[in-house]
Amino acid sequence: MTALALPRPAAGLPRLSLGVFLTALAAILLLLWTGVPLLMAVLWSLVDPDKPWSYPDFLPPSLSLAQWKYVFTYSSIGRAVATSFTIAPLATLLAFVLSLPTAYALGRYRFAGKETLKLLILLPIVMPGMVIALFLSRAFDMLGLSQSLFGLVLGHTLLGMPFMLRILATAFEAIPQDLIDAARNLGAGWPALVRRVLVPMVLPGLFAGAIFTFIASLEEFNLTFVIGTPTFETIPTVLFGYLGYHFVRTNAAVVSIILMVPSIVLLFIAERYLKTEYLSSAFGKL
Amino acid sequence: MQRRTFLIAAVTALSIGGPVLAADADYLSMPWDKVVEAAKGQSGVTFYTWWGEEFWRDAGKDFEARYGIPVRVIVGDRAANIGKVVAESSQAQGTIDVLHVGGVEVKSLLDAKALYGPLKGIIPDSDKLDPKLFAIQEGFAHKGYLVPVYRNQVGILYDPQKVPNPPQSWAEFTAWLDANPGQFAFNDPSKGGSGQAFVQTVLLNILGNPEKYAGDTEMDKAKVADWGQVWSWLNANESKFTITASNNDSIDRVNQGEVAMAAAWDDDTSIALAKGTLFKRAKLYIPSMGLPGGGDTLGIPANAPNKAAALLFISYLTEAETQKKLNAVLGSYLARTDVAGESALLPEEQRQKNGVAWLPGPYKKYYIEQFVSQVLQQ
Repeated sequence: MTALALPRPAAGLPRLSLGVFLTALAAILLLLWTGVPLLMAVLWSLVDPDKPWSYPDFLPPSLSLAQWKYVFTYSSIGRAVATSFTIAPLATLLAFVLSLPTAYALGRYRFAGKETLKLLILLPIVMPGMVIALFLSRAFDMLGLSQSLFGLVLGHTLLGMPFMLRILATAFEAIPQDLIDAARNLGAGWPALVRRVLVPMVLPGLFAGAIFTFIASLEEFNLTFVIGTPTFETIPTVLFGYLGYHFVRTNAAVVSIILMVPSIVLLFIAERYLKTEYLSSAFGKL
Repeated sequence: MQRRTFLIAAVTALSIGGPVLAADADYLSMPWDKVVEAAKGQSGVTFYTWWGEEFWRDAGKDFEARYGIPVRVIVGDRAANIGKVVAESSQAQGTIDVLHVGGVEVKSLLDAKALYGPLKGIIPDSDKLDPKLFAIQEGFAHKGYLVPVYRNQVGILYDPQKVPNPPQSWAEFTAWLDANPGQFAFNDPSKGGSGQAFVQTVLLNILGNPEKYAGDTEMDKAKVADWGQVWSWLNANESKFTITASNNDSIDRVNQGEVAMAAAWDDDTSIALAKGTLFKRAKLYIPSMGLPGGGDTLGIPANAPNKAAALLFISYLTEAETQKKLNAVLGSYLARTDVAGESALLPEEQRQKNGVAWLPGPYKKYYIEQFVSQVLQQ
């Protein structure tokens, strides 16, 4: 009698381990968690006003672009996109310039009250947006900065700086002192040290800080609404009305998709770039 | 040193606050034709609202075509609009000319002394606008500073396939609720007026005697001493209700088939029908147990830069033809009492017979707070 033997998996083929199974499960859950709401938003944005999507219909009985047409007809979204994408890069650049010295000091030096200062930097993120907006607006009015593009750039810079500062400070902090010492021992002066060591090492942090500041600017509503409108309208000041008290699902779906797209694109770019840079930093490409 | 002095001055000025108003022509005592003339010399009208953009933008274009005065419509967030007016109230000149005002915001605006007026008697045809709304908005007396622009009413929205004969009286309603637990929805009253309307209806049907609150500008504690009965009844029956997150969430639950009936505003229902977010067979009615209704208004900030143009724009919005268009586009009922709207979901007879007034503001505020603490948080 010959014993039956199960064929052994060919060498080199991956076996389904618990780790792979859990990773796949997590990926599927994540996809459902993010994908289903996105799919629902797309479907609601395409509902035909004449043929409502109601129970028990699983899908809209008819699709139409009427809801998109409505939002683009009755809002100043085109002008708002241009304004938002003018302010965000300027605010990001200014936040970087203003944050750099403080971030370097926080990352590379020890001094009394450093941890308290780090916490204080986060205050603008913790406090309610409208409270900050109301108090800042008075200062902006007195300085003649309300209803001006420079005022808006400055406001967005102030609100984006906590992100830029904390991330840049962490990036500076993470640079091993050995590397700096080694560069100096090899004769590098300050310009070479900055160009060959500091900049490449903080670049991923700078990029992450820039992405966060950029997105914070794109999504800032309260301060812009108080000091910027009616002269300037940005994407959130035009679109948040559709998501508030008189929330209408179809309009809100269109608006959510419009708000989501720039953030998703930027995050994908950031993810790709950050990975490469971190790897190069970690494995000594420097 | 100079920088430090400047910072101290800045902080001191911030803490002083208070309105600083610029000298303005006295449009409130001017003949109307002079106001119109002055309006034509002003740069435009900036109007802040929070919904209904399709109507306001078209009305703005029509106004510009007639008078040559451009209208800029900003559709913002309801609370943020008021935040902006209050934030700008210390400036000599603000940026808003006309403000669309909901009932919740009336007190904040009056407390901040942020309004120009009174406008009653100044706007032509003031006598043809709903006199109650011209004096009191959702329980808050505004003394004619706010001009009615439309009326709206809370009713009960229902699916006639599930509820062929909807209940009318309080006894019929509670019997229906017992037989259909979970099939009636109303929103958390701190999140929208239709939920507030339903809680008030429960309160008045259990306790009766609505007249005792009339005219009070402060809450009389003796008059609310028996309200505990209402919270006890609601707690005992909470499982029979579906409590939702907002006015439109209630409508959505009806559309999704989750509930058969819900408290809903007439204009929200009209918009949902027009947008395809509610099935066309849905119906709305005001039961004989009564539900409150009111309306929204327009105001002019005390530091509005173009007050004459603002007065003219408000006058235009309250003209008979403009009001009919508003009714057709938004579904809200006309603020004028001398013209009928053709697009009303609720017949005028039902409004007059079963619509009731809101309790005065302090009582309304109190029952909203009490519902949250005594029912939702229990």
